[in-house]
Amino acid sequence: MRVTIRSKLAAIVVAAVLALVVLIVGTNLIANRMQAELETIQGRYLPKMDLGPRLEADFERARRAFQDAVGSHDLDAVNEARDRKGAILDELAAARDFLDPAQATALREAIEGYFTTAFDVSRRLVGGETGEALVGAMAAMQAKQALATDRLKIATRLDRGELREAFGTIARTQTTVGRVRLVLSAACLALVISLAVWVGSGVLRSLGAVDDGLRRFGKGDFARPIAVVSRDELGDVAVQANQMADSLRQLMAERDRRDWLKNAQAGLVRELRGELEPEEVATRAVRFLARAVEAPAAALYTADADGSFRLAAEHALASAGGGAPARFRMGEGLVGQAARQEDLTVVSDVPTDYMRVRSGTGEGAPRAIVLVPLPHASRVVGVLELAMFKPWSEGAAELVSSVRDTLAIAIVVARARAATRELLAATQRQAERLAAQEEELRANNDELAAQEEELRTANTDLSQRTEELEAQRQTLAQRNADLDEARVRLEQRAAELTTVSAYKSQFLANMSHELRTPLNSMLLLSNLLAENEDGRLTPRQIEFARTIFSAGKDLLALINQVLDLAKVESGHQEIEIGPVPLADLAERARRVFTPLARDKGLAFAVTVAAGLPDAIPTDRRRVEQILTNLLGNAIKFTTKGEVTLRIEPAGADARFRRLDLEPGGCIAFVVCDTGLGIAPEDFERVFAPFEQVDAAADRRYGGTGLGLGIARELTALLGGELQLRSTLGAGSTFTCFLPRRPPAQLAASAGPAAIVEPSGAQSGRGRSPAASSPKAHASGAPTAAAPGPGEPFLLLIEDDPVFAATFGEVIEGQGFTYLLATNGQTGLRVARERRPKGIILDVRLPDMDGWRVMEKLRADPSTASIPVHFISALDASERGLAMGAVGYLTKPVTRRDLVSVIEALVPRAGERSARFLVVEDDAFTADSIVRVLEAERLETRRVSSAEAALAVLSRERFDCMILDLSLADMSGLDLLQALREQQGGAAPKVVVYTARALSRPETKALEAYAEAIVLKDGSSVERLLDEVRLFVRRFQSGPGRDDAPSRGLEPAPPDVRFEGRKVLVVDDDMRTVYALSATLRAKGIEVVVADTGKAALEALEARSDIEIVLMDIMMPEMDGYEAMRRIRADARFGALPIIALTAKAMKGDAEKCVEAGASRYLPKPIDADRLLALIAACLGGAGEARARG
Amino acid sequence: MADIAVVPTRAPAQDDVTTIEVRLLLEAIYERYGYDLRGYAAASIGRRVHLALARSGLSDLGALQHRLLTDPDAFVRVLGDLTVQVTGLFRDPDFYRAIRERVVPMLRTYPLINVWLAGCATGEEAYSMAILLREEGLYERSQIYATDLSAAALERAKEGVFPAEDLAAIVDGYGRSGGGDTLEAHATVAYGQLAIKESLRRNILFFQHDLVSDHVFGEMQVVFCRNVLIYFGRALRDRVMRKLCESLCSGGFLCLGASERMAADGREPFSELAPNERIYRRTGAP
Repeated sequence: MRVTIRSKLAAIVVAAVLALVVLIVGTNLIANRMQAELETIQGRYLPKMDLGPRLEADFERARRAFQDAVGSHDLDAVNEARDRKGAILDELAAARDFLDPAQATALREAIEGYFTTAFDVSRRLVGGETGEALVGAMAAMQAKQALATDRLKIATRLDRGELREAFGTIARTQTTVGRVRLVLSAACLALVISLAVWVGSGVLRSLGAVDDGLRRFGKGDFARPIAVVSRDELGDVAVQANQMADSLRQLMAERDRRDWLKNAQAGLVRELRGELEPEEVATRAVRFLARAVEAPAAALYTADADGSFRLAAEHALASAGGGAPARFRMGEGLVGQAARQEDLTVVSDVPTDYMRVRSGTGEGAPRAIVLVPLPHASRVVGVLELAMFKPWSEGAAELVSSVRDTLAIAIVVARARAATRELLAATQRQAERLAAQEEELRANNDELAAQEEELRTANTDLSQRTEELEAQRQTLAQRNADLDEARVRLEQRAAELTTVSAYKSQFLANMSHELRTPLNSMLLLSNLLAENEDGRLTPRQIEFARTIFSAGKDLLALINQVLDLAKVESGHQEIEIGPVPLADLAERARRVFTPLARDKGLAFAVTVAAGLPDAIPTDRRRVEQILTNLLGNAIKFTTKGEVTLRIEPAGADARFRRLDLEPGGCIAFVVCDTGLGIAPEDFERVFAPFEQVDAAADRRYGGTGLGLGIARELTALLGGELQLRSTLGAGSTFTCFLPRRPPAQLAASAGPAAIVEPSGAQSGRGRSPAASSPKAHASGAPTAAAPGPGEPFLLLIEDDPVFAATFGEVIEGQGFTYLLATNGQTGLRVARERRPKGIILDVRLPDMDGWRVMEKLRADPSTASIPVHFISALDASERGLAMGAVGYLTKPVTRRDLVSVIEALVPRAGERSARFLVVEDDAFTADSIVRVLEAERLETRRVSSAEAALAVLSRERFDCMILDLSLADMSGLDLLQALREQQGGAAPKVVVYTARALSRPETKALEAYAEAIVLKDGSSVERLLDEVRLFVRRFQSGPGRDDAPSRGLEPAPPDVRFEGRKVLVVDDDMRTVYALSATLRAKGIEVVVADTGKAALEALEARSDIEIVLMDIMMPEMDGYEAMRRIRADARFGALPIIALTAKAMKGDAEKCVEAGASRYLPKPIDADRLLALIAACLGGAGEARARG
Repeated sequence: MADIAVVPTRAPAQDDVTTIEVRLLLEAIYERYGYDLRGYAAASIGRRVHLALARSGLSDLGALQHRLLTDPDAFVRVLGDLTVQVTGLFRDPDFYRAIRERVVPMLRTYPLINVWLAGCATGEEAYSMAILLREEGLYERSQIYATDLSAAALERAKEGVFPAEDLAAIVDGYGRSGGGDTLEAHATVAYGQLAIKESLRRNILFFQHDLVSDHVFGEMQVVFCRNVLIYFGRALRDRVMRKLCESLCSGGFLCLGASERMAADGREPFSELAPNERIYRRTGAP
């Protein structure tokens, strides 16, 4: 049983306490008895001792009281003395407890006797009685008195014997107490001591065992555990100590193992230190590891470039009979297999004949073969093979695993080092070769120098020639300018002609109609006459009537044809697109023309080629008309032979004048005849109205000559082309090509809204011919079937229907819808009501010009923010841009131009980051800029020449261009100008980044195009980055919006106009200049800029047509005051209006300006309205003033 | 009279009547001459008005006001006292060194450099800056606009001649500002005077300009407004600050005086470039 020390100690304490309690209780009991004895003595004997004397005194006092009463003969006093008896008896009664009852009764009787007697005697004495009786009574009385006194003494006497006995009892009791106490104490003490001895001896024995054990452990002897002698706490300690000893033993074993491992690793590292050849590395590693893991034989295979493993080093293998194989492929043999996997391969229980390791003293088979792959960077660079006599131990495995990486790295490093050495050698060889080449080059150079000299001579000749060429170039440029001028004139003439032609057609159309009405009556009547129902006409008269009828019919046919032609030409022709089966066309031709051909004795055949669609979408009536005209014409002009109509796919070799046609998309209607044929020079004429090739033929064949013209117009109307091939005398072939699908232009004429559905909408187009007619446009209504509400669309304000249709097609090609307004009013209304995404605005419009429209758009807050792009034949881009247009495109335009207009209007900025174009010819600089931009995560493109930049910019859209000024092919300024011409407001923002020192004028010129100019000096990269970030921030906050309007001043009242007036703005602050110029140019004013007073004077000198000067005051070189004084000093400019602009607003400044010569004075910041009002006032009066001057 | 030169010794701003009188005087100056000193910090302008009163030899502000209203010449003299004119060539070498080291590298990237010294006083700062720009090879493409309220100060500034009494201090300041030359390369010292060389004056334009009422006049790369704002009250300071800001190009530099600083709450669009020298950079678009 387990008895802990604690419980033993508790038992001792409990025993001691129990003994103590017994001791105390015993002693107490005895003491109580003693106390009781004492109390008895106290209660009985002490009052008895007091009572004797007191009763005696009372009795004495009563006796005296009787004597006194007798002496004084007072009866009352006698009574009073008798009453004393009561008090004495009471006292006696109180002492009853401790008096002997018999004695007390006797005493009482004696006292009562005395009092009775004494009273009687006293009363008699007082009564004066004398006698014997009395004397006897007195003697009785004295006897009674003595009796009472005696009895009193007896009653109150103390009994000594009794007292002694009481004290004796007490003394005995005390002795007993002392004895009991002694015995109990001795017993307790004996109990406690014996318990203590028992516990102490057990503890000491256990402690001794533990102490002994721990001493052993301290000395490192863990072999024998501590004997557990007791099953108490000390026993536990011994058990714990044993466990601790176990742990320590394990720890020490682990430490030894680790030390061994570490030493081995360090040893290997030491072995492999230094610049070793790969073979040396392998040899050392093998030797070391074999020794470390006590392998009798080992080999190391390293990976070659081809992935096979070559024996790089061996240890004691040569003795193992035949040595090791020199090479393994991947996966071949154990070695190759081991290379495939990452872990060690251990082959235990090797057969005895597997391999034998011999030594001088004997030989034996290894018990295990271990293969260790050496991986490095996920590739196995070698395999280590170890043959073991001992079983493969865990320690060895750990060592090998831990040095795998080291070994692999050592191998790789050694190889890399070898490779480097090899490269170095190669480089040295090359260097030598280079030196030789350099020598050669030097020789060549000398040769070149000589040649250069020759060239220089030749150059001189060349420069002369260049001068000549330059002269020629100038001539050419002049001629070019002339040509341009002529072209412009021609275009204007052509425009006029078109108008005239339209009038003519209109007139003809009206006329023909007017003619037909009377002609109808004539035909009707002449026919009636010819029938001669009354029989009253002579045959000759009937013949006349027939002639009238026939001539009338001819006339009608002529008029109809004229009408058709006029309709086509004036654009009144209505087109009704529907599926037209080709077979129907062929059948109709056959039906109508077979009889006619037969009549003329001609063969007539109609063929439809295979592989054609059953029907094509086109206007049946028009096609029939074309075929009728062509076939009629062919039959008419053919006298013998045949006429054929072939319907077939257009030949692949067909060439078209129309750009929207291609052979694959066309069907050819070929009409062949064997008639007269037409000479090539007459090809055009046959199509002209009222023309026949041979004037004589007119008479022979009759007819109007309108047929072919109409056929050609109709073909064009249907989106096709009519072609003619002919040889004089060998017949003609007219081919009418019609598109398989109706062209967009055709659709456009049916109204832009219909374009939304390009397929299957033919009938839809046909239903709204009125909307498609230009007449409807002219009425000013925007075209019908608009884009749905909220759908983004563009507004095209353009009165030229053809251009509108073309542009419409481009817009739709870009995935937008659009509305067309053919005049300014409608355009404004649509802009206000429908809020288009962007507006394309023509300058020439029927009701108000584009400038005006633009002003109104800008003045209305609801339309002010809509981007506007001008497209006009008028070259006034500066003015357009000054008004805040996104861009200005001058007609004629290309398709690409139109696309870029749309892109400028609807930039997709929100969806992308800013794109940068870096134009820089120095590759290194360009590289660094691109890197900086790309670090900002900006999309960047770089080109190295101005030409390339323009090319790229015409194809792609960039938001910002970083431009080096010193390009090889074009100056930066020229590039910027070209770009502005090419793209107008859609051009990217420009940051000039240049190493060139810029003069003041150069800078100012550049500032007109560039957002910022950064010189490559100082912290230029930082600054460039600042500008780029600034741009990007602005780009993100206001995507794609041109900030030109914000540069201008407040919108000016639209009704004040100054077309063509010339103003000189003198200010050195470019911001102010831009703002002023923008405001003024928007008003049609031509602005000349000067940045100093001096420049202003020069400008006035150079240009005599300046009508007003806006003069800043604070300027370098020459301030405004001085400039004004000098201007006024010149008599020519005495009345020239000068408006002083100054930042100064103090009293007296205005006077100072006026003193210096200003006509008016305007404080900055400049209020556009006030400025324009002032200019208006000045110009009003100045014209006359200058006229007078 | 004995009491003519009595100068009040206690702070005038504490006296209501005096405050009213000062205010009326400034109002009168504004009404009469258009110089707006009304927004200046009351204590500082009060002190200077009393200084002017003491110098004028008049007995009270009422008399001074009357004289200023009736005598423009007297006003020109008093204006010099009212506007603060403490300046010196290279007076704050650390500041110029900071300009050289921190600002000039950036300025090199601008083809044209506009510098505006608002409150140029007698021009020392303008010439110091001109010398610095010349030494850095930037003077030829720089234009310095030096403006001040006081025409008299501007007249002296245009002359470019300064007393050479503290020549040692100037030379020392020039050296410590990082000047690589000797001062003689930029100025001639003779007869106890120091005259700035003509070539340095070419690109400096001195102009009278009131920061309070006048508008900004151009886009600047650098604006000095040193020890001017401290004399302005809060509202006026903010207004002038807006003006300076408006005049600076994006990334331009604003230089304040040693005891002036940018509002700490960041509501002004500036970043610190050299806060110890009170040089700030404008951030954000103009």
